Amino acid sequence: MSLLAPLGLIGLISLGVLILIYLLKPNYQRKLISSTFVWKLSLKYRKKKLPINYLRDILILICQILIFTACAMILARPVITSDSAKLRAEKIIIIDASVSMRTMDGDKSRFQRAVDKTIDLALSSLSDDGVVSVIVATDNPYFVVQRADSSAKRTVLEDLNAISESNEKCSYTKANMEKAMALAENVLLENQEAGVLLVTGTEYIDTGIVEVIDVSNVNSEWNAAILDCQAELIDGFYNFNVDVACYNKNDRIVVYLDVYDVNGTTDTFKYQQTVYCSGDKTVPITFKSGERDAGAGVPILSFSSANVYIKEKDNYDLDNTFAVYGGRKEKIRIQYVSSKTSVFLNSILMSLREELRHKWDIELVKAQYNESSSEEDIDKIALTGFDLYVFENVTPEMMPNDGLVLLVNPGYSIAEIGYEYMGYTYQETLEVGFPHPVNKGIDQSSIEKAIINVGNISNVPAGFDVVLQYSSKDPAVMVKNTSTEKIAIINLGFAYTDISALVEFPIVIYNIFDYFIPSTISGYSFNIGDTVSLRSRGETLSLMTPREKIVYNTFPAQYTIDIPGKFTLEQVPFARAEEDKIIENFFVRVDKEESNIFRRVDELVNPYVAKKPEPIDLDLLIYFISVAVGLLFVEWILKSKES
Amino acid sequence: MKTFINDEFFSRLETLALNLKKELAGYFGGKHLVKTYGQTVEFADYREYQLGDDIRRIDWNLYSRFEKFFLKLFTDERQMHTQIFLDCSGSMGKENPDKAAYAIGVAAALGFLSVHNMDKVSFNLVKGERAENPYGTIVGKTSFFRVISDLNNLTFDDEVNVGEAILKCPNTGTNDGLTVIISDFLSETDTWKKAVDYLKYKRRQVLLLQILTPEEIDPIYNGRLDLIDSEATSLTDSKNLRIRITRSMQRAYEEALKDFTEDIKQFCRTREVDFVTLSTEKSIEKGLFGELFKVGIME
Repeated sequence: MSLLAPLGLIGLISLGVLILIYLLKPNYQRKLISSTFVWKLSLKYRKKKLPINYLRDILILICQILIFTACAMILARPVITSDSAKLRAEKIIIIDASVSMRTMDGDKSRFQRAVDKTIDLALSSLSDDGVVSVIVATDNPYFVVQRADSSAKRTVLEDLNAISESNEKCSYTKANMEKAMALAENVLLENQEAGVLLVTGTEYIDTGIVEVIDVSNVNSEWNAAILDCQAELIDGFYNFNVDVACYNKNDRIVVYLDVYDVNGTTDTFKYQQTVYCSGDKTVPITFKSGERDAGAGVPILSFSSANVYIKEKDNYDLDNTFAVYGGRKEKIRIQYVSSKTSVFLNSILMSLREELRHKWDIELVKAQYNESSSEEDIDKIALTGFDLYVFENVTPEMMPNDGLVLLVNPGYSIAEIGYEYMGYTYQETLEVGFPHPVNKGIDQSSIEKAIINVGNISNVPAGFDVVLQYSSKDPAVMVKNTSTEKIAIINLGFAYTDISALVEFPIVIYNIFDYFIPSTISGYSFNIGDTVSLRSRGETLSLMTPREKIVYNTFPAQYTIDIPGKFTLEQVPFARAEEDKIIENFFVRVDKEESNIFRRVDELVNPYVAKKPEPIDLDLLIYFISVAVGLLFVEWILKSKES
Repeated sequence: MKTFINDEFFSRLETLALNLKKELAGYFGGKHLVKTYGQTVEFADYREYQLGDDIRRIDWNLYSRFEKFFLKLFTDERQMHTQIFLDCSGSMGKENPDKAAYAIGVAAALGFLSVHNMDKVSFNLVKGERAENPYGTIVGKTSFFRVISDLNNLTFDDEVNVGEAILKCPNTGTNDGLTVIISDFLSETDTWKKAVDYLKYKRRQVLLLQILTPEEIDPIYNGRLDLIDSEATSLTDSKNLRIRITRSMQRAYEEALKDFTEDIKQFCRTREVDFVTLSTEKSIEKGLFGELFKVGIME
């Protein structure tokens, strides 16, 4: 039973007043009568009082006490809630497994301390016959323990001990608190009274219904961090912009920079700067190499990698190092051979070089070959040593096999590849063939407006994919990409066409380049959780992570990064020897925000607690009123009998 | 104090007379016929002549008939002496003046009846263990009315011993009338029984009049009470009683009173004493006309 208006019990004060009245009122009143003689005689006639009769004497007082008590209870409005099923005490413990929980203090990290605390809380709850659930809040939270009661105490202990042994279960990224709370909601659906606890090192200003247990140690933990580093090419020289910060400590930090394989040599340049960090503020510093007058030393024109680091003995070391890559581009050699250099194609190739200069160091070698070419000119035409051979209006005597061969408007049959030339027709329109990386981005409605010359052929050579075709279904652009042949044929001429007005044609050239000579990876710096697309110019690609080595055979391959550090990609390009393998690197950093190991978050996302259905209370008012009326009746009868 | 003593009251009593037993002797000059033969003119009986009888009383008509000498006997009327003992204890009127007035009224009524029938009457006021007779023997209405107004000034106080007072009374009379004891008889001492026996020994006709108020007959008060006896000398007097009066106690009271009264009645029956209980609730006339007629005291 519960009371809707407990203040009504103040009415019980009336009991004290009642008892006081009984105590204070004159017990025996004086009465003057003529003679007590008969009363004394009547004493002998009085029936012997049985013990129960003494009770009758105070029956009226008892009735009055009960009446006042009933009235007080009526004022307090007693009810019995129908939802009488008493739920056991339940706790939902969420362990923050964000990367900042890897902060060490002594020999234990915050995460380990959090797990220890969770074990204490879980055991305490289970000892009181409670129910406990434990969620580890990584970027993909999961239940370690779900609604375990005291019968599963041993299992709970084993599961929790297993994750406390190391930081292995702690993530390298931010915790997905929304999803963790969503998991907690599953439990709250069963028991809305369950308490939600978050064991974390992050400070929350508004925690809502969640009880936050802080396992950080502000007295001993601090962190010096390299938040970011970027190599900036200015006037042909590299500068290194570094963001440094220091959390929970004001101190001078020495930042070191090592630059490897500078300017195509094996030299390593070392730099250092001292910066004063205070108030958790980010301090940007720059290592300049391009200003000789500034005493920056030799300007850095290229480098294989750079490493920024600090040597501070802080409590969180995942952000003490930052690697920078991309200071040196791989060289791509393109040979462009044409009977008559096409301004259109030439400009596309030049544009391609410019466009991809951040990825490749493209060397473009031109040669001309026609009936009037000299032997010397013919000798210049190479059939090996290039990554891309462009033959426009020219058919090579022998197809190069160590690179991509792009035949533009061959004009002749090439028995080597099964290509048979049937002659020109005019006034055809183009169509996009079946979806292919080479025709990606091609707008069908644009290309069909072009007026082009058509080169008829008898068939599509074996192994070729038609990516653009004529309205007559003859191939316009086709590609072949095997382990032994990489050939692209653009089966159209540029004369008497308006194809040069189409933006789609440079796109086709670009796509051909990208398809056959792909970038292995899209960048040199990633965050935890990023999914990178890996491509290879060879048959296989090896990825060395800080944890393992993975070999890919199918491309593009997807890799989701879940660990910070330096990653290495190795591949042997098409038609290259093992010693020509390409080694590339990229760096994965931890979230910058997690470096602030004492950051404050305004609001903690709370689980949604469905509103409990209003229990239908059993109103006891009528019963207490009935009792009070009954007691009044009984008292009236007793009073009447007495009088 | 309420008084019943007024002309109207007495005028209603004039038609009544006390019916005294014929065995009583009395004095000559009264109006009560007695069993003895006297000198009245009312023929009573015949008797054979015995040597020494007055020959003037010989009935010659009987002699002519029977040739024997018979005497005519005539009734004798004697004057009786009604002695009224009035209990002047506190229980008779200290707390309830109406009861006192009633008692006085009854005493006055009986006294009037006596003098009206040419009897003598004495008012003996019982106080303590003595009976005071400040008015002497009253004969004739004139004397009576002179005395009666004083009765209204009587005080009822203290404890009395009716029995002792009667026993110590110097002149209770012998075979000459009615002794009336007016009291409530609510006393632990029952020496009044000895007094009754004594009066019977003195061949007096005895009438006990118990005066009770309605509250004494059927008390309606209840609860926790310290009952203070009107004859108690202090609050700590043993006469006082602390009692919790419940319905059962009231029933016990009724039973006790009934038994007490029955006990008195039983005693009186064995002594051929008349006992009447009068309630002050009833008028004196009804009491006198009713109860005293029943027992034959009144005619």
